Formats: sequence, structure tokens, C-alpha cells
Amino acid sequence: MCRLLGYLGDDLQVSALITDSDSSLTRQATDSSVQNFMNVAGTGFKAWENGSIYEDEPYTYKSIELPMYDRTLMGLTKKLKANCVLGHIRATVYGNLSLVNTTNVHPFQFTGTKIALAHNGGLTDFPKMKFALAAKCKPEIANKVEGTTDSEWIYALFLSMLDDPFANHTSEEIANAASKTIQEIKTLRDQFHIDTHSVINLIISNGKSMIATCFTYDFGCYEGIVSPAVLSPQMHSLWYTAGDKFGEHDGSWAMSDGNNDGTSTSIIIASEPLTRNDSSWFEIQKYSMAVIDRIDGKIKVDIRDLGI
Amino acid sequence: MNNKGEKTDILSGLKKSSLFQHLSEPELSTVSLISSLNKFEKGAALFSQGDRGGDVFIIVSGSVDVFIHQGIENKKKIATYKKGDFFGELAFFLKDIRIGTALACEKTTVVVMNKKIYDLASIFRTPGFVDFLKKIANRAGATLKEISQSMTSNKNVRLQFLNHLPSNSVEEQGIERRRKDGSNFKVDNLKNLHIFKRFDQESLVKLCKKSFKVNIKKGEVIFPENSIGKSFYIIVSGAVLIIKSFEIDGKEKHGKIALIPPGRPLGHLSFFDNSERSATAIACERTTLMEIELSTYNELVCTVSDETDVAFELLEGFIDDLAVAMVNTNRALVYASSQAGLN
Repeated sequence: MCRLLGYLGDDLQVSALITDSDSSLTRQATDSSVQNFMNVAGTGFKAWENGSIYEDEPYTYKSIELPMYDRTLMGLTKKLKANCVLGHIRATVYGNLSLVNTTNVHPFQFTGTKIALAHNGGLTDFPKMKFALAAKCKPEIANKVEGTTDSEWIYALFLSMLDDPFANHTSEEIANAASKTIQEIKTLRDQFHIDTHSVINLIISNGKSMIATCFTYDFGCYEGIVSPAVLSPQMHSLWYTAGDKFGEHDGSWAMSDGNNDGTSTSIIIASEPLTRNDSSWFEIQKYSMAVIDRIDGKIKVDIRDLGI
Repeated sequence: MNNKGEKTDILSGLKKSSLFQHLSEPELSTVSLISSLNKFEKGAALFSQGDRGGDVFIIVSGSVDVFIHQGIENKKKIATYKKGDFFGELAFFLKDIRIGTALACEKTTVVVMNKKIYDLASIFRTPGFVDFLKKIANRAGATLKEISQSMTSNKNVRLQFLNHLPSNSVEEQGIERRRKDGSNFKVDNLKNLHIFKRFDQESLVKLCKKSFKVNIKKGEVIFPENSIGKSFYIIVSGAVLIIKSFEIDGKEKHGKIALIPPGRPLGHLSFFDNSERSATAIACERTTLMEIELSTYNELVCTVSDETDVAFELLEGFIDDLAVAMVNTNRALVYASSQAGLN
């Protein structure tokens, strides 16, 4: 399954997250700690830097190069620093039914919009509901879909849940739209009698706040022979760690402890812990949404039950 | 290899432990071959928190305190073991990592059993060894219950809550009415479930014949906390939420403490010690369970036949699962505790 990553906090060299740490995003492409197959169908990230030119717009990278040989990626992430990063490594079914191109690489962000989205999971029987889902999208948004993934349509539906998809939005507005998106897809699944395990783990960001959903429709339900993804919830988990600074401390990758008052200035959220020692990583419960803000330099996390 | 006098002392020490009360003399003698007698002065460490090791200890004389370190300076005593008691078995469930430090309170002699004891039990599969494994699992189950309990007794721990807990459970309404023949399970599918990884086709067919298939609707309570169970279950499809109820400021709350996916057992902890259910189980999706009555299981274990192997393989599956549950529940506790600082 795809691998996701989000970062919000103090200035950080992007390579720490994408290429360098023990289980950095690109290392998860071939050496994931929770699954045995490769995620090499595309690498992408968005990086926002306070004070940079057009600071509301992120730096965007998308490539279908094999990440472990991608010198451009390595060179860029080493030079870039950011306050907010949204990263993704795409997995897709091996075979000629999958289309591997940069259009299908996450995170998605349509021109003119302020919010990007990356997805881990997949909607079972998506072709059955695709046109009904498209009908729920605002036409000016649906017209911007270029790729063939269910994820891009989830993004289109999410944007359509916002009153003005092209405006700036608060974390609360983004969270409400994400929640409505999950509910709308549930309604469509009911309409088309789709009732098997489908994961919709999303990380959504506008560079100032971050929303992460950890949700599975019909968790554990399947037809015929059960698949490894159904049996292994760790393949579609989300983890976070919060503290002061992520980096190599005394030879080990870690997020250093927060302030003495118990607050944190930075947070990483990821499909699996990025450090060999995972004792400071916490797993977000299924059926939940994390709403993350950075207010006066302090991280605020609100974990909500999606209750759908 | 231990000398004759030491072997006698080891055998004597093993016999005094409740762990081996059902082992025959030849079986005890086999266990003694992988055991040694060790003496510790007052204050000496038998093992330290973070050490790697899977040996199990039985106290022949003296006593041992076990501490958990919290930071560099602080340590909290979590248990004291005396003559005849056993300890150290939890490492087996935690990838051979010691979660506490054991210090001799006085001059102490212990029988140290190599972790190969678990392999011996697996090889011989006699009722005595089944009893040994059940006792080990029982202690691990009790620890798991304690961890779960601490999630609801500590005010700093933030759980997510269920808004409404239905009052009637499937067990209370009479699960017998829901039962379908377990032979209907597709064995090819069951083989993929973690709990059955030790089973071959033939063993699974036998188990299916002894089991029932029970379908549960989303939102139905399977069994409530504090009830006495007559069956345990394997989740074949769907998922089950584990809920503990407790009071906060005079109001009853239903905290979510675990989510159990397909391939994992349910209701088996009270099976080891015949205790009440420690939590409520509610289907959070439409769920299919394999139900096995405790009486059927006990019959399988006690009857020396081909079917004893089926019961033993299931017990080993439970023990594997306890290791997973221990790590997951511990993580859930750490996670829930962490929420206090971030809001």
C-alpha cells in the first residue's frame, strides 16, 4: 500500500523526512517495516516554507523515477528547508492494468486551490461508483481531474465539499470537508452495494495546518479469500511523533523531546515510524481524524472520532 | 550439564512450582536438562530492564523484587516473588526483552529454565505441558488485563468513547440460535488467518467440525464486560471493538481500548483462568465468528487422540496472539497517555 508522510513545525531540511532517516519515505519504497511489496509507482511531495517567495504556494516535486536512484530528488531535498511537508510514495497493483505516470503521483493540488491531498488505500469497485461520484463534484473541480486514480477523484470530491474550493480555509473547514467526503463516499458505496474493506487514509494540508484521516470502510469484510491488507491493519496505520526537532541525535534518528512545559513545536505524521527506535511514535486509532494546527509556534493535535 | 546433587535440587525446585504440577517424573526430568540452579546475593540483579533474554525463573529459596524504571532516578516496584513463584515469562511475549529489573531481596536460589522450555512443550504436547502453557498464557492474559485496566483508571489517559452501548448481548440472548455448522467455513480461506498458521488442512477441517459459524450485525454486542463465557471466538471476517466501561465524574463512559481485525481470537483471556470477561466486545462491522465452546476445547485437550494436536495448535495460536496483543495494548496505553499533553 502507498506510504504517506506529513510534517508541520520548525524549519527542517526536507531530506530528513524524504531520503535520510532510518525509514524515510523513499526507504519505505523498497524496505517498508510493515509490508513486503515495493511502492515504486511514483514519488511526490509538497513543501511550504515561511518567508519564501509566494509562501502560500508549496514547492512541488513529482517523479516516477525509482526513488533510490533519483539524484534530482536527493539533491533537491538536501537544499530545501520547509515548515510543512506532504509526501507520498505510490503503490499500485503489479501488472498492465496499472498506469504509472506523473499525473497519477500524489499529492494532488489543482491549479488555483490552496490545499493538497495524498491518499493511502483504495476504494474497492471504484469504477462502479466513479460516475456517481463525479456527479457530486463541482464541475469546475471535476474538469481538473487528469489522472486515472480513485485518489484524485477523492481529492475532487473533498474540494467540492468546500464552499469555495479556491479560497483559504481554516483547519476546521478542511476537517469538516474531509469528514463530509468520507460520508459521501459511504453513501455511494451503500447505493452501489459495495461492502468490502476499503481504506481511506488521507493527509491534507494548506501549509499551515494538517488533517489526517485513519479510516476504513467495512473494516475486515471481504469476499472469497482474505488478502494480506485486510489481515494486517498495520499496513494502513497512521503514526505520529511530536517534539522540538527531528534529526540525527547522537547517531540515532529521533524527534527530540518537546519543551519542559509539555508542548511541542513540530510534528510528523506517517504511515509507519521514520525512526528505528519507534518508542516515541503513537498510532492513531482507526475511524479517527487528527486535526493539527500550529498556533504561536506550538503544535495542537485534536484526535476526533469519525463515527461514520 | 548439571551434577547429580544439583539435578536433585533442580527437580525439587521444579516440583514445588505450580507451573509443573501436572508434569510426570520423566517430563520433569526432561525439563531439568535445560535448567540450572543459580544463587544470588542480596541486591544482585537477576536481569535488568532492557536486557535481552527469555529464561524463566522459579524461586527455590529467598525472594525477588521486580522494578520498572521511570527515568534515570525513579523506579517503581511492581511485584515481589517468593519461594515456589515463577517469573520472567513475559519476555517470551515481548520479543525476549525484559520490561523490568529483578533484584534479589535476600540471599536467593532460583531454578533458571532456558526458553527452550516452550519448544519442549510444543514437541511433547502432553496434557501436563498443555497445563504449563495455559498457566504461562494465563499470567500474560492477566498482565494484558492490568494494562487495559490502567487505561481506564488513570485520569491522564485519554480514550475515545462509544456514545451508546446496547444493553443486550448476543451471548445473553442465546448465541445457540445464531449458530450455523462450522463445516461451512472455507478451509482455504481460514489457512490465511494468523491464528491458524500452524494448522494443516486436516487439522483445520477437524476444528471446523467442532466449531460453529456465527454472523453478527454491525453494532451488536457479542458479550458484555463481567459476564461468564462458555465459548471463545476467532474473528473470520469483520472487526470487533473492545470496550471498557467506567465512571468519570459520576457518568458512565465506554472507552475504546482495542480494535480486533480478522484472524485474531476473542474472549479467550477468561478461558485461561475461568474468570469473568474483562471487557465488552462489540462488532464495529458486520462480522463472522468461529465459535468454539470451552467444553469442546477442554475435551479435545484431555482426550489423547489426533484431535489433541488440534487443541494444542490452537493454544499455541492464542499464545502467539497474546504477544501481539501485549505489544498493541501497551502501545495503545502509551498513545492514550500521550493525548493529555497535546491538547
